[in-house]
Amino acid sequence: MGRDELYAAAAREYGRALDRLAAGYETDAEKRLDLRQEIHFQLWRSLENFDGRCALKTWTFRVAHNTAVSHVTRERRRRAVFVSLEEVETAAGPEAPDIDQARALAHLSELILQLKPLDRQIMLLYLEEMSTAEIAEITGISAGNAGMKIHRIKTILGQRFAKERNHA
Amino acid sequence: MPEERDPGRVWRGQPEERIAMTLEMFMNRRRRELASKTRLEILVSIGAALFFVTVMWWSFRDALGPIQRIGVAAVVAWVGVTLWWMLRRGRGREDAASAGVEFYYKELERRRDHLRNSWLWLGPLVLAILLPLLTFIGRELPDVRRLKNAAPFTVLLVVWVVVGVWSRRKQARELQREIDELAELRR
Repeated sequence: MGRDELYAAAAREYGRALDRLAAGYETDAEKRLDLRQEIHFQLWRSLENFDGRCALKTWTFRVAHNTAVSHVTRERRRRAVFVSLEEVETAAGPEAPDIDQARALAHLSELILQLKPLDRQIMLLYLEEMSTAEIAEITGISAGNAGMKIHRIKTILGQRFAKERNHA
Repeated sequence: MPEERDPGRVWRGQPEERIAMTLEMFMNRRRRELASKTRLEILVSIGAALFFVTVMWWSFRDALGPIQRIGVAAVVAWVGVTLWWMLRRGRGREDAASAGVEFYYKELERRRDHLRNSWLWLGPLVLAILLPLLTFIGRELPDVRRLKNAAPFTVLLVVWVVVGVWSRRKQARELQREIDELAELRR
């Protein structure tokens, strides 16, 4: 399969997930469009070197996250300080939102956007229903480490969305 | 946890982006980036050339011989030609009817030619740097010890030119590779 076919397949299969990934890194609509274009362009370029040693899905998300992290690094100076999953877990979070889907999404986005790049990657991949093994492969951390992070993510999300569950 | 409140479902259920990504869209973006990079390189080069001749004119204004005056005139004329060429090229691009991959392909070719023919737009700058250097060497020629003062600058200039030529050739080769791949896809 040539580069364009691979790109077309990746865009078809994971296009929506890549859009969501961009939303997890950039809130500003114009900059998000730039980031999406950059992700697609870097993906298209990178597929020239795709040798099938990993799944297309893994490759796609690895490129997308690397591109998004570069974007975040560039934008970092204008942003607040990022925190780790550990800090979020121990800090007293804001009141869990008793809200509709849109506000739940806003609350989730707010949580994601304050995370450090690696934790954010893992959170976004977890939300995309990826397995621990896939997350470990994409992020380059060990499966054990990924599992630990995912456990923290589940705890945090459980806490933050508990009130919603009670109100539902 | 009700399904609509499950964070994963909330995240995956977010509204779709209004603008869908296409290959053409980001190729246009890449094309714009290449065009703007080329324009910037030309403008910086001719800006630096004009700066050097201005400094030279100011520094040696009482001792400018006919050769230096011709040199300055050549730099200014060359800058004018480069600017005209750049503006003409810009207008041509706006008129182009093709879009997407085809348009990108053309920009890649333009960028490759720009890198291969760097003497065209870097010439004024090299000439503008050589003029004061040669003027200095000519003035100090009888005194070999003072002539040595120009050596570090001369070496730097040579290194800059050699590294510049090598780097631009390398970039041109990479672009050629991309052009060949696209040409293959267009068949």
